[in-house]
Amino acid sequence: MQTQHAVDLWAQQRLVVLASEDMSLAYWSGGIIDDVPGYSSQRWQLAVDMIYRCVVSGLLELTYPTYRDDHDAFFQAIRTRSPFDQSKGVQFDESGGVLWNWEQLFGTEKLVALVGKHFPKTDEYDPNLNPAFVQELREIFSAAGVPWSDAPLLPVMPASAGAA
Amino acid sequence: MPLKAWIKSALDHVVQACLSEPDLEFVWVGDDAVDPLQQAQTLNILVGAGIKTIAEARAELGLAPEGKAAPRFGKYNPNHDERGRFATANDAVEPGAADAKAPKNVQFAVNDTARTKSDASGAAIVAAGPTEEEPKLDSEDESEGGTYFDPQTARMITFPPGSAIGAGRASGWINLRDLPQGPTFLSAPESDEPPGTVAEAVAPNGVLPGASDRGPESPRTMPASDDPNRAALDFVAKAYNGETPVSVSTPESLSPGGFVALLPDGTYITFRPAGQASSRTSATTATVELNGPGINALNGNEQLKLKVPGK
Repeated sequence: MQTQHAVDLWAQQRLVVLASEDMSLAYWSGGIIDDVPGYSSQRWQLAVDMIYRCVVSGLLELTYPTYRDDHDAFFQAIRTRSPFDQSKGVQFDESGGVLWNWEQLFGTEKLVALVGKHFPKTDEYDPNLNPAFVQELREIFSAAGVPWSDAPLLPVMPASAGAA
Repeated sequence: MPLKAWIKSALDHVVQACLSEPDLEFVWVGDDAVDPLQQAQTLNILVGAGIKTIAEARAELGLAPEGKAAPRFGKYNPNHDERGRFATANDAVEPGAADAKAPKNVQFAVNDTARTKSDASGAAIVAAGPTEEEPKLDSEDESEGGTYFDPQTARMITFPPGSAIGAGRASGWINLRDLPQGPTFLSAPESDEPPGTVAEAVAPNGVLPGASDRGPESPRTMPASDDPNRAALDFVAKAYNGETPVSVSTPESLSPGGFVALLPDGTYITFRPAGQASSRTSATTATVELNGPGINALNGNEQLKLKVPGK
């Protein structure tokens, strides 16, 4: 349960920022979640699933045109190219490191409205979990067919897995 | 690369000493990664302008530093006669005593068919004597000059009007004039400090640059600048901390000017010129993102995004 709370807070913090900022994909691979260690395949999986949910449900959109009109290609790219790879065995341009650090996401008007509803603009920074925000977020995910789940939604496919 | 340099040295000795062809040297050609002519032209410009040293140029070519090679190899013989040819110590003249056609700061082999003997293996033997003339470069910027940023070295170089700088542009340099806010730039500061990590450079004593009244998941804002692109690139140069990136990518999704560099300590540095983001970001704000174990550890395991707004 503590993990779920940590993940909820982690997702909330990111979406609040994305309502007003462009952030790289790698933004979703950072932060502290005790039970999901950084630079691990679990963290990669969590990042992929959250990006997938948010794009499918219309909360986030890609900044650059590379994948903007081809979400399938985008999802295939993020599930097969790890944010933590250092371009071993592939051209640097085609590495996960470049993909995750270069490509950007920004919040759609739908996200801006959601954040504005639950986080009225104040000068006070509130680092605590907003249960109402998380509840509505889950409803949005469910309505879009990408409900919150502990099971991988879009399983990552490390390059080494298919090599054998 | 050291192996190629060693093979070259050995074959230079064979060609110059054993075959009695002191004016010839061995060079590698056919390297798909770098056009030798373009590389030579670029280096010639940079060395001639005093921007790079001969030692740096030699290092880029995979050659040993001057004076460190075995003296029996003609390539590294420091003695030259009045015509710039290799000579014994007794026949050598002092630097500067050569005539006007003597080699200048550095000599680059050019794949000139009139002076080259090559084989099918990707190697060639080329004349190593004095150049007939300075390389003539194609350059659309020849009459205007310009300022370039090299993501590989974080150097900013301003060429005066009349300089031929097309080769530099073609080899991955970013013309700052092409950036949305790109006016005149000065050279990035040089440092005599030994190379270090990105975190050491941008967050001395663990103090992060910029300001934020939010959590570590939020971007930090740097002081506003009349020239946010330049300010951001100056910061990138500082973040390199004397290191050379392992790799640099200039994604085609945006142009010109943005890049992702991977530093030896595992930090990714991403530069986005002003105007290359969504409407969520001001069109006059340039950004630098640092993402690596060292810097992230200082920022709550978050990447560090720095915004450089325009005034």
